[in-house]
Amino acid sequence: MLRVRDDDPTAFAELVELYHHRLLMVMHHLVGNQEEAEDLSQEVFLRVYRGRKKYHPRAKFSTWLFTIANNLALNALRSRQRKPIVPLDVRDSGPLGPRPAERMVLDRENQPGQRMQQQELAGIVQKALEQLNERQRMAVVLNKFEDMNYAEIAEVMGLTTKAVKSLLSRARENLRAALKDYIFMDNEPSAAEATDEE
Amino acid sequence: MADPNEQDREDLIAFLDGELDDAKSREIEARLTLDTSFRAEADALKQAWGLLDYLPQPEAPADFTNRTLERLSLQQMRSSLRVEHRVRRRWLPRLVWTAAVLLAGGLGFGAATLLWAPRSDPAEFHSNMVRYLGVIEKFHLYEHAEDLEFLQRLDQPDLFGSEN
Repeated sequence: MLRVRDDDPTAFAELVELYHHRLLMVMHHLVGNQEEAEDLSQEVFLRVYRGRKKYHPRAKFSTWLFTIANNLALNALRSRQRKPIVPLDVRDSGPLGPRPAERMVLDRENQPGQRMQQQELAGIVQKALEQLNERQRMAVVLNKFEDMNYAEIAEVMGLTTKAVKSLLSRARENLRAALKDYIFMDNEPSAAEATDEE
Repeated sequence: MADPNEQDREDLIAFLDGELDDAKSREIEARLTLDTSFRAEADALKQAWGLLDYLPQPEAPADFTNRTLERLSLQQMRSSLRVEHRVRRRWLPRLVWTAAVLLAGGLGFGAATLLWAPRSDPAEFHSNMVRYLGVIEKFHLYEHAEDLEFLQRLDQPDLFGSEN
C-alpha cells in the first residue's frame, strides 16, 4: 500500500490481486449476490486508490480496506431496504417441501443429492444471515471469515469493543434462533423430528 | 441453575471467541462444567456458528483485477474531462472578453493609423515650411485672390498706368 501511495505503477494491480478474494467473499456474504459483491468490491479498491495519499500505516492495511468495505456495504444494504431488489433466483421448496431434518440426512450413495442438500442448506444459512440487521451481519462476517477479533471489528465499524461484544452476542443468538431446526442437541431430537414423532 | 441472561450469553460468546480475560474465562469454564443447560446453550451457539461454513464460497472471476484497472482508467479519464470542461467554462467568458478588447483595440489602432497618418519625414516638413515661408506670411492676402492669373496681372506695371 505504501508503494501504491507513492504511485508505483504496478503496485495497485498487485494489491487488488492480493486482497480481492477475501474482499469478494466478505461482500458476497453481506449482500448475497455475486454481481453486486463484485461491483462493491471494485468500488472499494477504487476508493483505496483515490484515498492512497491519505494512507498512514498506523494499523494493518486490511483494517483500512474493510473499513471502506463496511461503509460501502452498509450504504448498499440500507439503500436496498429503501428500494427492495427482488432476487431472480428465489429458492422456495413450497409449503409441502421436505422437512429440514429429513434433508439433513446425508445420502452417501447419492453424490448429486448430497451436493443439492448442501446447496439448499447454504441457501437456508444465507437467509438466516440476511435476517440479521446490517451491523450484526457485518460483525458476524468479519469475525467468522476474516478472523477479526473484537478490537479489530470495533476499529472497522467505528464502535467500542464493548459494543462489538454486545452486537455479536445478539447476532449469534439470532442466528441460533433462525437455524434451530438444523441444530441437533445431544440425546435430543431436533424440533422437526419431535413434531414428526408426535 | 437459572437460564443464562443477556450478560451471561455475552460472556459465553466472548468466551467461545477467546475474548474473555483469564478470571472471567475460569468462571465460565466452571459454570459449563456444572450447568447442563448452560452447556447446551454453548453447544447450540457453536453449531449455529459452524453452519456458516455452509455458506457458498464465491469464486473470484479471473479477470477481476483487469476489470478493476479498466474501471479506474475510465474514472480517471472522466475526471480529467470534467476538469477540462470546468476550466473551459470558467475561462471561456474571460477569453472571449479579452479577445473582444484586443480586437477593438486593434481596430481602433488601425483606424487611427489610417485617419491620422504621421508626417512622412520631419526634416522634409521643416524644409518645405522654410521654402514656402513667403507664401505662408502673406496667405491672409492671397486667400482673397481667387486665382493665380489675376495675381500675376496685378503684378504688371501697365495695368493701372504709371503714376507720373
